Amino acid sequence: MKQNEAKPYSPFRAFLAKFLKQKMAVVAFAVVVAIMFVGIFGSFFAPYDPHRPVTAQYPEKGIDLDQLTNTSVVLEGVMSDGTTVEGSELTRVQVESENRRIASVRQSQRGINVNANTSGFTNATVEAGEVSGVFQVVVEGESQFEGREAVVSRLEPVHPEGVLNEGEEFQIDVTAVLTDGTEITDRGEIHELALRLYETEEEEDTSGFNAPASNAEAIEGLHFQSLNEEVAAVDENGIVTITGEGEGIILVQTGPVKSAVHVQAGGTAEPVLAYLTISEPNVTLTDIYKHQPPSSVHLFGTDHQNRDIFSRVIHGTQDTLLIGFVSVAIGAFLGTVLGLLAGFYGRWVDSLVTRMTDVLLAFPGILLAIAVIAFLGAGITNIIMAVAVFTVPVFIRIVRGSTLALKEMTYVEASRSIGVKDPVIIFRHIFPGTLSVVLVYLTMRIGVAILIGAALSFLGLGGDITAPEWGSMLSAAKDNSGTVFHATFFPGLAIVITVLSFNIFGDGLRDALDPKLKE
Amino acid sequence: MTENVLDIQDLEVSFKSDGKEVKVVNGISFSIGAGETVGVVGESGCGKSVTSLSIMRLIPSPPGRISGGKILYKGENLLDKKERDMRKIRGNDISMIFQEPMTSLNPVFTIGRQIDEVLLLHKNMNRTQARRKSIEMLELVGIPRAEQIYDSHPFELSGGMRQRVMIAIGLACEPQLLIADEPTTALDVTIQAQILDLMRGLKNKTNTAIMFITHDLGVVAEMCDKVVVMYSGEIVEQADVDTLFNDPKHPYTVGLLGSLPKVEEKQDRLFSIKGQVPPPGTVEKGCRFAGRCSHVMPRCTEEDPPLLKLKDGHDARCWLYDDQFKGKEAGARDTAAAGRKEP
Amino acid sequence: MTQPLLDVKNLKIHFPQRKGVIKKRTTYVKAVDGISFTVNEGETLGLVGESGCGKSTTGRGITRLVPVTDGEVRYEGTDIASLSKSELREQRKNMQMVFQDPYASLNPRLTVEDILAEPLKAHGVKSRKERRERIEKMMDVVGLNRKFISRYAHEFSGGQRQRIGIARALILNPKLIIADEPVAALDVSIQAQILNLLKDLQEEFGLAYLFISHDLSVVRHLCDQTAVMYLGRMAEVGNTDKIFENPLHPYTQTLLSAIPISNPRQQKERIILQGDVPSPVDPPKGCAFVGRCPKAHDRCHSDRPELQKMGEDHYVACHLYDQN
Repeated sequence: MKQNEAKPYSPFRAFLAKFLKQKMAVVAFAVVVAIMFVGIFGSFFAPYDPHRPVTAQYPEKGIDLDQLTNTSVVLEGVMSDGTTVEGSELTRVQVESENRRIASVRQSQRGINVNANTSGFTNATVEAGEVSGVFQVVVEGESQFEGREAVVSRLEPVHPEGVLNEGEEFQIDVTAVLTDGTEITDRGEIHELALRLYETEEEEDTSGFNAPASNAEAIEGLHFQSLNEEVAAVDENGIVTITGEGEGIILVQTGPVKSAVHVQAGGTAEPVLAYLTISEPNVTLTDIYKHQPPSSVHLFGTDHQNRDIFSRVIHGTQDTLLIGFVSVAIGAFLGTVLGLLAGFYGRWVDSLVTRMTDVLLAFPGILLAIAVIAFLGAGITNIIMAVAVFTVPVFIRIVRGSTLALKEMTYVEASRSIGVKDPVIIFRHIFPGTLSVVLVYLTMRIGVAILIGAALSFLGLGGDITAPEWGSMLSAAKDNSGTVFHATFFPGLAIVITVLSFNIFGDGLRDALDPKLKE
Repeated sequence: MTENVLDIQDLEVSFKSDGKEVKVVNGISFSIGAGETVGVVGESGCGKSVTSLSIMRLIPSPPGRISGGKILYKGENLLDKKERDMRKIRGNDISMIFQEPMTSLNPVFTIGRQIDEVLLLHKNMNRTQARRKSIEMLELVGIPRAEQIYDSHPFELSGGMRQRVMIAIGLACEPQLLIADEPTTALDVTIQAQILDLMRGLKNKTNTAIMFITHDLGVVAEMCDKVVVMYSGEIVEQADVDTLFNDPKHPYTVGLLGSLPKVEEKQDRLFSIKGQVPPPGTVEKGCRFAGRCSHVMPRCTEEDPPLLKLKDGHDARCWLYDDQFKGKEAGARDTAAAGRKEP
Repeated sequence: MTQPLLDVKNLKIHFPQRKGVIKKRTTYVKAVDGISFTVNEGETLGLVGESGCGKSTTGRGITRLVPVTDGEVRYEGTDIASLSKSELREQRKNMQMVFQDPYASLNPRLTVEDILAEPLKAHGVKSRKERRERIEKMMDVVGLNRKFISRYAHEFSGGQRQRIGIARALILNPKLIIADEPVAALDVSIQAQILNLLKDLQEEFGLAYLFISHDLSVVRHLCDQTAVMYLGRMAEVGNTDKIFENPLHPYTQTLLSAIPISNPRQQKERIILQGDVPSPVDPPKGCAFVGRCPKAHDRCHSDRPELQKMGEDHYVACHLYDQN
């Protein structure tokens, strides 16, 4: 080829041009570089100490513990004339959580104080005299909130206007407001919903955990009850018949939620408390003591010991890469040297090395590694050694193979005919020839080594199982993997991305280094 | 004039490399008459093999592409044919023999099976008929113990025998045109002599037209009726074999003939063409040979010379023979021929 | 007569071949089976023959790139076949090789400078400056542009590569060059350039060539002496002109008649051989050529012919010329 351009040919530039043509590999290379950067500098920018529970670190970080676990909701009463009464002015107020283990509630100055205890969800009932409302508390954490659905938070009745006369009939209209904010006005629908909601509720009651709702008579569906039969009677469909003079109160109830309808049949009367509103019928809190889900505070959530998974993954990069790089470097070095010697000298050197390779390759890789660890003892250094041991034969094979081919090249023969010494021939003519395939395998094997390293840690052979290493993180999180998604997902994802990046990078490298592959 | 078996008109083939399209065959035209043997000679990279692959429509695509021209086989343009129709033509009407007898045969099948294959495919024969015909073909190409060879595998045969088998496969369907791409290059001289002898005999027997691609001028002199000399994707000279060897016009042809060492006589020094073949796509204007030519004129680097008709059946692509220079022609031709010693 | 530069006597190179899985038998490929020839200073000996006749193996045996089974290879009186490894390395600078395939014989990962520096380094030229000077001088000699010194081998065309190969062989100022088919892989026009170069270099440096080739026309052109090999044995040796004008051995006659002549008016009668070269594992008992020889008689089947003198500088191994 005659190239008289200004730029002289450089093998590196040719390689670069070929490599850059492979978009995937370039991306993978960028990811590999990023991973290596994280591996080296990760400890400086990990937000939390990976070894301690985050709750212990919140004070140093200036994060208020209470903010996450405590909240209050405002309670208001709505009178039958439409005016509102502040919660603090209501009398006979009682608040009760259905499941105190999850969250406890208590009346306070500002309303109702909710305190999260552990993850899960529960409903809390607020009673003020005859009327009551419900709100739901969700504590996020490891629980999956199965079977969680919005319940009726309050019933807003329509009060008959003006004074009613004896014998008059009217229909009570109510709007049910659910904890998720939906409003249902159709009586039939409310009835259906109530039937469904509170039937299951009662089944759960038998478990003995739930505090029975007050007045837990066998109330099914939408229920109407007159407190003053002499003034007004009500039937099961909510049709009120005035039977006498005076004031009457009709209670409308679904499950634990009760509202009062004020019936005025003559005379003047004070408005009565009709229903309760709770400013936040659906309170969401976090369980900060274990398995926090991913949030802005903990990008990857926290694990079973409440350690920040993001920080652990970042810290783990170092160990993981250390296993990958060092073990493959050792393996590649030994393998290349032995492969070159075996291939170049042949005879007994070759027989010896090849037999050894065969023996090592006869073991499944992971078994061999386990055997080495069993011999050396657990620990990261020994994992590196173990992975190196089964990387060696792979490199022996490939280097020996290409050495055999290169040895037959005429230029090697030419060098011998000139009188060049064997070591010089090996180093100048044969080793550079094997370099490209060694480099490619190097990158590919790093991926495998990381996988095996992670697998060994996963099996608890890494020594310190609490160490922030991806394999041990997976191992520790595996018991809760049914309920906690993030604790296994993120370390697993880190392994997948790392191994994938190294493999794609290796593929790209191979395509760029392979002289047979053009364009 | 008898009808031509093959008529190539302005064939252009381009290959894409590094995003640039480079013409490796640049507008060549020649024809092969029935029963005629045409030699296509040239050095490596001149486009002679690409031409033969284009006829078979076997150019690897991409990166290759037939970018222009016509290839008329018995008046029909092969470039317009569907791939399915082409398959019927390959091996049946036009067949090809390759340079490497070692790799052109499939090592896992018996010789017989590989000859049968073409017959079964094209000739509507049953197995017994195919077998009979295959053995007949093996005998025709001079393979002893044909019945036995029929059942052997390629590795059991020597290079010369394999090339005979290739010829047997090539001729099995009695094609109108046989394209032989350097069929003897990989063979020893004594074996080459055997194969050439065989091909000459077969040509007389079957009246097959042969396109003989080679770099060996000796083989051409021996085998061909007509010669096409290619250089860097173009035809630089074509003539009947006697004219070409005894009255070559193009300085490249003259140079090629002059640079051959001759076994019949001792020469002191060989004539040699300086420099090397320019890589395809590097010569932008002017004659492609200008850089190596010993008779280069200013005009040569400016204008691309056309293929000039010197006399009936003798064309040369060289400005030396342009009419405008007629006066100088005689002198120029003498100088051109001076590089070569008369035998 | 003065001592020849290279004197090969009864050279045998056999390669063991193991066969059989359970019962191991060793057979021998008799690649070179007792050949003798000499190369004088400043002279060219052409070693011709078809593929598999052992001509390349002979070249490799002389430089001991393959082990010599038996016989003597004397370079200026020293028997190369019996040298120790380090003595051999020292000896190698006197005798250099040029290889057939200019693509395979140069390491594509090295630059011209690296390639040409290698022999200098191997033979103790330590100064970088001196090496560079000698390399540049040698590039001029073989007709390579000096500015290509840091180019990689694979950037060059076949002809230029062969020039690099020749430069590598010449840089240690050897007296003998063993050229193994140096022009076989080149195009005709480039072949002529290289042949002319080899001739010029011979005149300039007084080189002796052992020129191994299958191409008789090239041998005729270049060589003073010609040795025709067949199946590991010598068929005919002698002055090139004598052999080409008056070939005695039936094989030489066949070989010469088989060469296509590049003139359609000069076609000649051709001797077409039957069959192929027999296997060197089991060569015929008598003359190696007996199976294909058109003039074979009884004796050829039983007795191996030895080289006999047929005139000044002309020897043939054929029973046709036996005196008795």
